[in-house]
Amino acid sequence: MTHTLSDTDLSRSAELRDESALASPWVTIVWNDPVNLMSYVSFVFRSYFGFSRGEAERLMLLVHNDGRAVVATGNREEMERHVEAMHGYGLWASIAKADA
Amino acid sequence: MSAFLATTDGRVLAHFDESELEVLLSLSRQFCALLADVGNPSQLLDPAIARLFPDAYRDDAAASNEFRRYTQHDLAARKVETAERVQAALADTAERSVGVVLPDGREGIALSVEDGWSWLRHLTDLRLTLAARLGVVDDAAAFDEEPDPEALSEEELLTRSLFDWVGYVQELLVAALEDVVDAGSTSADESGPASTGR
Repeated sequence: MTHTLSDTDLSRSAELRDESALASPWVTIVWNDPVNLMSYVSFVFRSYFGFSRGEAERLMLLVHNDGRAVVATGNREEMERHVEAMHGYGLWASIAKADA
Repeated sequence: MSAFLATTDGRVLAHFDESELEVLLSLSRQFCALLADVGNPSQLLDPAIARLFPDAYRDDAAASNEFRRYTQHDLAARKVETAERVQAALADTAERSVGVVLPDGREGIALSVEDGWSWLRHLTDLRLTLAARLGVVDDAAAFDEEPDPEALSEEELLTRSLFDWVGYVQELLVAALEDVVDAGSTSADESGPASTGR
């Protein structure tokens, strides 16, 4: 990849970041995967997000049955922190615009 | 046979047979070797690496790459650090230097809740890597059925049995750690009124 292209990417991302302060919020999505145990996913939701056991279980089942669940909503930086944390736990997580 | 036991003082006692210790140590060291060169873009062609550091933006490759540029180095370092913490506990137990004795007389490892989380994270990383080696990344039903000895090579069957075993170990550890956390939150509730009176 050339330097010119990298610079373009960066400035584009910077624009996106500025926009995100005024635009609709972002969400953290956790996706179903064939590896992670249901009990583990639920336990991660409880421990990391501080959800009750019932709420953690509900979100885990959403992931399992629907293939994905929104587990957090907020500004882009916060959602990036959550996604990084989820990747640390080995969960398959991504960020998207709330209305996307 | 591996086992985990929640104790009343908020720890988990873990027991592994010698052969199980060796298998875990070997898998864990292979995992660290895999992450040694992380950050090299060509490594993302390895499905295991791509799964361990997935796209943060599903429809935006540029934003995903930028996210990786900011986070991958630290995330990989934390994964290796976690692996090394688990390896140290396994090695100590193998040398019988800091083991504890379980109620049934077997040797074990005492894990704090924090240690337990290191183990859970690391066992997950091992399972993600083993699954990727079997060609499984996002097929949700891939492990619903028993492995087919006709369809898999000997090596694949071995990898699959390791995958299943590490999953079994992780399931036991989640249950034991949940017991510890639940017992801790109950006793915290009980001690609540006393501490607010100070």
